[in-house]
Amino acid sequence: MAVRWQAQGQPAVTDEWLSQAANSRHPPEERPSVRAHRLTGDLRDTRETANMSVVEDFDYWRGKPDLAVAVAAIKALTAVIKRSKATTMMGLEIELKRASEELKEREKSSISLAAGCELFLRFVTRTSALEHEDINAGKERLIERGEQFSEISIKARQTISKVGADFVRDGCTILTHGVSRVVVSLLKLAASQGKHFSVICPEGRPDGKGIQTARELTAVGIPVTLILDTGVAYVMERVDMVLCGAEGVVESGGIINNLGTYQIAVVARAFNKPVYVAAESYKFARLYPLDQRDLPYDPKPVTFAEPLPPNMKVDNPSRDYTPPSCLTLLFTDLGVLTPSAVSDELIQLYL
Amino acid sequence: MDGGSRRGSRQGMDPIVRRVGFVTPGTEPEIPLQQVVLNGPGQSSPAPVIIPPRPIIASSTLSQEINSKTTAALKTVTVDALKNANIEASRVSEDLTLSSSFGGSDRSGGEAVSEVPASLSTVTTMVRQVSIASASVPAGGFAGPSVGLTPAPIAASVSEKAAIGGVKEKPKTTRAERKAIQEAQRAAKAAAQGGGKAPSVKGSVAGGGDEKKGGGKPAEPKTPKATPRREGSLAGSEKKPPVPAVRMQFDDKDRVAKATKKNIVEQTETKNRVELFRHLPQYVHGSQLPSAEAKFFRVQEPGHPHPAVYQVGLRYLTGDIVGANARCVAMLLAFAEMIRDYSTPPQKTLVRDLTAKINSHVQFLTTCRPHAVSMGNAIKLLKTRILKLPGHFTEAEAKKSLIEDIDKFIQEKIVFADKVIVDHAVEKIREGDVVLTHGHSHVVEKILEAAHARGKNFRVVVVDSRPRLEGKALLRRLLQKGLKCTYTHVNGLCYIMQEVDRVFLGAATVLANGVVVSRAGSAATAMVAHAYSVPVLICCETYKFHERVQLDSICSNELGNPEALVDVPGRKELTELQGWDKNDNLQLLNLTYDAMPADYVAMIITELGLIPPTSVPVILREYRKESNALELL
Amino acid sequence: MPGVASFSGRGGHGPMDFDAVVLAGGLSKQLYPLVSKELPKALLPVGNKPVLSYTLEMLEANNLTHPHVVVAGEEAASRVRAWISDAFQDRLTARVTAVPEDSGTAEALRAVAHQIRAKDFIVLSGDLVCDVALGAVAAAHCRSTAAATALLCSQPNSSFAAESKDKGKATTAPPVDYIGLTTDGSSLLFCASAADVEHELRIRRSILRAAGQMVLRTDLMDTHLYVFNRVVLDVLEAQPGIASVKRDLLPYLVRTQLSPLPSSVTGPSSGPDDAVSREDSSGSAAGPVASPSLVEALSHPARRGLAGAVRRCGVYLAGPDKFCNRLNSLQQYIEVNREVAGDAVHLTGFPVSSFNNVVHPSVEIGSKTTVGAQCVLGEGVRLGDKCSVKRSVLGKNCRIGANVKIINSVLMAGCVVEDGCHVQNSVVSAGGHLQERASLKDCYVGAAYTVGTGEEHRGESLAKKQ
Repeated sequence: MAVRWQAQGQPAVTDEWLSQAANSRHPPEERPSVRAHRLTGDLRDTRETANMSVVEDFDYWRGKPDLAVAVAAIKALTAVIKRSKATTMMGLEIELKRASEELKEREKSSISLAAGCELFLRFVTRTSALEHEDINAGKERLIERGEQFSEISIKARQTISKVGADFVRDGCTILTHGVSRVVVSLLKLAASQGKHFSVICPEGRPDGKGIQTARELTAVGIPVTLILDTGVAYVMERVDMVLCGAEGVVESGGIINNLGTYQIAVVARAFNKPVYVAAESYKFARLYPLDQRDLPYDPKPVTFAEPLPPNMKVDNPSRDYTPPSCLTLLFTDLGVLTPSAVSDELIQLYL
Repeated sequence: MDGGSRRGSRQGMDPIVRRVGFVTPGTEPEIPLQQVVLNGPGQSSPAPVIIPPRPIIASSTLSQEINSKTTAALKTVTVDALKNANIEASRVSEDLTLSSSFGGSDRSGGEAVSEVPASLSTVTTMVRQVSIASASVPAGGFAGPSVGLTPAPIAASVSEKAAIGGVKEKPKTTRAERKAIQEAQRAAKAAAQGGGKAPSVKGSVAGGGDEKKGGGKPAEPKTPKATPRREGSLAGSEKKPPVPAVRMQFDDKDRVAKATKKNIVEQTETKNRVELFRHLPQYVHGSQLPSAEAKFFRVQEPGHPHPAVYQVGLRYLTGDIVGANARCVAMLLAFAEMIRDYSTPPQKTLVRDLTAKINSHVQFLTTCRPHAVSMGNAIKLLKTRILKLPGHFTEAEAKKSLIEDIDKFIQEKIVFADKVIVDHAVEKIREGDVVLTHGHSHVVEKILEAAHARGKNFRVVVVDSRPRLEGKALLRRLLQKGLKCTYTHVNGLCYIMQEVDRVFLGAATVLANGVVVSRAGSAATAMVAHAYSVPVLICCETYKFHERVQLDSICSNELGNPEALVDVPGRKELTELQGWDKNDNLQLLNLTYDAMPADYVAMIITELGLIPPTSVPVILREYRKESNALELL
Repeated sequence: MPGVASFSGRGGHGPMDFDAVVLAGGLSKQLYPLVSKELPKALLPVGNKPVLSYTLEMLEANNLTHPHVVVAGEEAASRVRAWISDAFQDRLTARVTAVPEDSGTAEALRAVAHQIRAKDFIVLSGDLVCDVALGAVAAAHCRSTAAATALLCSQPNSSFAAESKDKGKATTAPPVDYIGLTTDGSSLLFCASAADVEHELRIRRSILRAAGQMVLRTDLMDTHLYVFNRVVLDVLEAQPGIASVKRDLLPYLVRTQLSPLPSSVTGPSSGPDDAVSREDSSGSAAGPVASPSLVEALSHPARRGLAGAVRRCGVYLAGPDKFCNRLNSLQQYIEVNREVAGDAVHLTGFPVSSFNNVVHPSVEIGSKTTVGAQCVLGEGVRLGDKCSVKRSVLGKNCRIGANVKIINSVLMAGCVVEDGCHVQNSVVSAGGHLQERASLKDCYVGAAYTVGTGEEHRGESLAKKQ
């Protein structure tokens, strides 16, 4: 059995993934003409990318509100391929590697960015292994893949919403945390199915992410109650389920999400309330943290009401790790998985 | 359907009375065998806790219970009686022990009674023997468990059919059944030439074969016909996963006597044994080594193992080689030597003969010291490789290929795997960590040394336990490399665990339900770590994984030398335990392994990466796909 | 089960890959006057069997059927050769090599070094009588992959020495060996014999440091039964100054356990080399890359004996119930005879009667003659009346007159003892003639010697003038 030495942080590329990509592709006849100007929802791929750098590209895409970080990175890398003047696949790979390093530098602590980049590089490696003699044909294929990727990631959200919305029953109370596009779209779908439920959002200091979620949900008519972060245990007895997104899903089945998720999960477990996580499958990372200290430390600045004396230490990490024992189910575009199934998927992929 | 009536008619479903625990031998009353038979198949004489293998059903026996008057005739049921038996079999009972069917269908009636209290695995193994002795190994499966599996739904479906037809008390056999009986008889006849126990097993095969109608060798062509009738308990034509070999249970005297007849190492059972562990072998340690040594030069005798294997066995006996990896490697190297010196005798094929030789050598090594699971896996692989030798290979090529396979196995699965595990695991040691380990696992030792070599600053706590005190050797070696160490015994575990950040443990084997079997004392370490929320990392190569499932440390373990508990080195004045074997009220128990539940384990570090304990079956599945093992005894 | 025939044999040294070398000595000066040109030491009778037969029988019982026998002196060698081929016709194929007289045991070993093919070989002295299981010693050797393993047994009780003390004769005390062992008794750390030690014992510090603790014992005897690894042959070659196995070679090996030898000599556990050097019929000598040293690395190598020993010297301690003795001196000769007649009579293979003695059926015993326990009477012995034989060995065809008392003595074949003699603690060689009323006490009589009528000898060595 060949032993593959994987650096930590590489995400999973599943066959379901690829088949989804195949399904989401446009009908073949259209391909040659549509390729360059394929419309993906409301995103146009027609920018002049001739002389841009990858980072600028990335920033541009990042600016789009509906786009995940990872998807933006993929788009930027796709643009790199388009611009590339390499004559061999190997050279192309090297360019892409360099570009992804730059992106990772740009946002050092984003796990999903790293995951997305690694995933795309994996795609590339697999393609180049397919022995395209003609570099142009190979490039075409890669660009196609890149575009599929971004489609899939948007599709993923829809799939997740569909599977997850079944778990939202009429009359239930849902506790969310932070802001996650997937969760919001899930709840929106559930609401559109005619279910009546209410949502409780902790405000999410200091970023106020919870308020953002509350605003979006109120906009579609879902009744939202806003609470302080400290009020989670207080409300937990009247909550039916906890729903949150994830920045990364680790091998043990646990998740990495913004600070506060672990707290809510622990409280929910104490009350025997189910904790559901909505995450796309490209977020599966080959990390295996054992405790909070195992995560890359990424502190965010926080301001307090009054100025602090200079020798007072402030610890505000941006993320925490929730172990799988606190989670009930994960809603992914591969279906509804238990936390232990995450490792199964990863192993099946890498063996 | 008829569930109600069937359930009511089954008198034997009272809870099985078992006496477990520390019972002084010789004082318990023997339940007369007569009673056992009459009370129904469910009861057995007080037997220790054994986990029953998959049941082999003889529904005819069950059907006889329906007729109360035939219950008493269990003893004298012959195959003819089976033919007339009630085909409308009752619902398959999972609890039905094989002993009853065995006893019920024995042709030579008088023997039936004596066989009833036999242990389950005994009969299972004997049935296997029959199937193998008849020298037609089915490809892609084997008769043993399938015997157990298939009759279940078939019998039920047959009963359904009969019930639909409104047939009650129908003695007439269908053509298929008659053919099955003939096949069974033929097979049993072949077995009679192959094994001494055949006459008593014939009945069971016949009895089983009668009802199988689709399972087992004799009725293989019936399988497609039976498939559509199968109930959902067996998913269609899915290939059944091979069941792990049933281990020999040592509380059956006949089996043990037969097995030890040909032993090279004389083994006398210890007196004064713990009742709960009667199913495990325990021999007087003092007499084994001299008898083995004395036979050192008598290699000319037939049945004596190859000298390299003999020497390895001696080293097992004396405890020179301990540790799963070392034992496995030593055994494989000895086998490589043996293969190198091997030449096929005339009139025999390499494959069969070499397999038989390996079996006999393995048997010898087992008598020296019971197998570790890692060794079992290695042997399985070796036998698979032998079977898969291309037919056109000459003997020299075959030998060369086998030796290369062995070498590759050692390199890949042990040496290289260890390197990869070390690389993975050193990432998990952070600066300023306090790492705890128990006993002496050589993988953990390598990890600690590698982490230290990389310049990480950390501290090691070595926890040790009597009587082996293996931690001392680890401590010495770590100190030589310059690590900061703390040493304590198991009684200091709760105290020291407060300071600890990580626990690294080695494993003897990891089972399919995530249970980790390791040296005695590791489970306690893991439990305390779990209580203090300290993550427990198991470092284990994937070749040690096993598809068995185990829930406790009792059903499968190894009994060490109880004498080792008597003396405390360095304290000659502690003599309270001297003469323990003369005291009926005192038994000493020295267990070698213990099993820790999967909840205590945070992650398992293998050469394939870091996996949670719940993913062990996935690894096993991948392994099985790759090796495509055909399991042979 | 398939027999051993399916293994490709490795020549005459058995599948366990052991060779045997018997150092049968020659004309030993210490045993003068018992030994002579006609009777080399190896053929001295013990319990009416030549002492070499014990060794050879032991080898035969352990399937070492091709021993190399080294005898000093051409003539002695030819006698031994003749006797072996006669007595062990089909059972053994011994190769007798002659070395010059007065060569040391190491020299003898060098002489047969080129004939030794096996990985390990057993060296034993031809005058050793012991009932230790050879397999056990070999097993101990293999277990710890030692370079040398010595068989040690407790000093035999020397009641003879006690008796002779008050007779005034200055007897040499049995030679004491200073043996230093590890605490678990598995490894040899120091060895020296009393003859080489004058005032002090010099022990290597490195060895002591490596071992930690050493137990120094003087109650053990080196039986001169060793199991050596091939590497010892290289040592012998490299060090021509080693003359005696027991006094030079073994101490040297023990001293240099920790240090690697210079040049190309490697330790015994070099796996790949062994594998490659084996020629097997398969033609491919591809040995496994994983060597036995891997096993050592994986297990706990520091458990047994000396840590870090390149060439381990192991030890096998014979149990206290085992009998081991050698013919080192005249007293020991008598002792051995007595033991063999007594406790160790099972070694001789003679049937023991109910009186705890061995009496050949053709023996004629006169009236009122007593033959005590622990006696061995050979074929054709004729005892007169009113004799008393106690704890003695009488060889073939001895003719004993009346009123003779034979106590604690050895009479070899063909002795004639006339009436009224008194023999105590003495050895009479073959063909000796004791005339009437001769009295011998603590005497050693050479072959075919006649003791005159009424002569009394105390503690003398009597031999025919050549």
